Amino acid sequence: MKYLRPFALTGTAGIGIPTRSSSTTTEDDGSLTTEQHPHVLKLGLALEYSLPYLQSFVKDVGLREPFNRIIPVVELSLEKPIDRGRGPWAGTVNPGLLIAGKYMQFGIEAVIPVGKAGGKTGVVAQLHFFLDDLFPTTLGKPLLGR
Amino acid sequence: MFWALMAGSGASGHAFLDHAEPPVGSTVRNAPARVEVWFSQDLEPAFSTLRVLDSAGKQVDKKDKSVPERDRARMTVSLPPLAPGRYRVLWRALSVDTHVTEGDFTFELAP
Repeated sequence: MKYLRPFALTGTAGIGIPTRSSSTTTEDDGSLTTEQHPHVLKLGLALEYSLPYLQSFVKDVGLREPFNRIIPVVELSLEKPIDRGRGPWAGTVNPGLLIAGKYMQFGIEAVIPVGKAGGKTGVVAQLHFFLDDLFPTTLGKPLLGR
Repeated sequence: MFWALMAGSGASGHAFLDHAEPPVGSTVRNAPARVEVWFSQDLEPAFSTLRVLDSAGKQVDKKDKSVPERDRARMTVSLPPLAPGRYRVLWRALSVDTHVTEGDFTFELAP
């Protein structure tokens, strides 16, 4: 059971509210096309297993750099129009890795479409620099206080 | 260059536990003379603590926590001869950039 402790599950839920319920455009032949803008239910989930937490709080299983900084993650992002014509669920499942260091964090995930909307599989990557650690006396210095 | 920037555990200026002796979650056969904990950042000794409790919650270390001047990322507390059983190490670390972190881990003495 103790090996379950490094798991973390987070989620979000919300409604996307458009500023206009519809928009109308004039085609080249003079006809009018109206596009509905529905309210959209947006759901997000992230399941992570923190190897740094495992090493520091549960059991030192002997992982050394860089493996002791890796956080496997699976993210799920779904959305569904709930009015004005409605529509199917659509979104992506994104399995990947985060590598958390002292001065930066790197993440890379596959982007796999799910739902009837379809689409091609892709990849997304992020690179975060911790300015307060890289430049503690200049860029990373607090604007107010010491 | 990339791996140099990645070196050191933890992020955002906090002192996280890097490794310990006895190791986190380990079972040891010989009673340790001390508990040593290495952190990802240098510590402020006056505001960092290290305690060892037995399974009943009683503090069993010698209350002589120290952070060596030449290795301020390491904190040590010495122990009397311990009886077999499970022990909990509680640590609180104030890093030199004033961020506080705390945590705990266990080890078991099974001769």
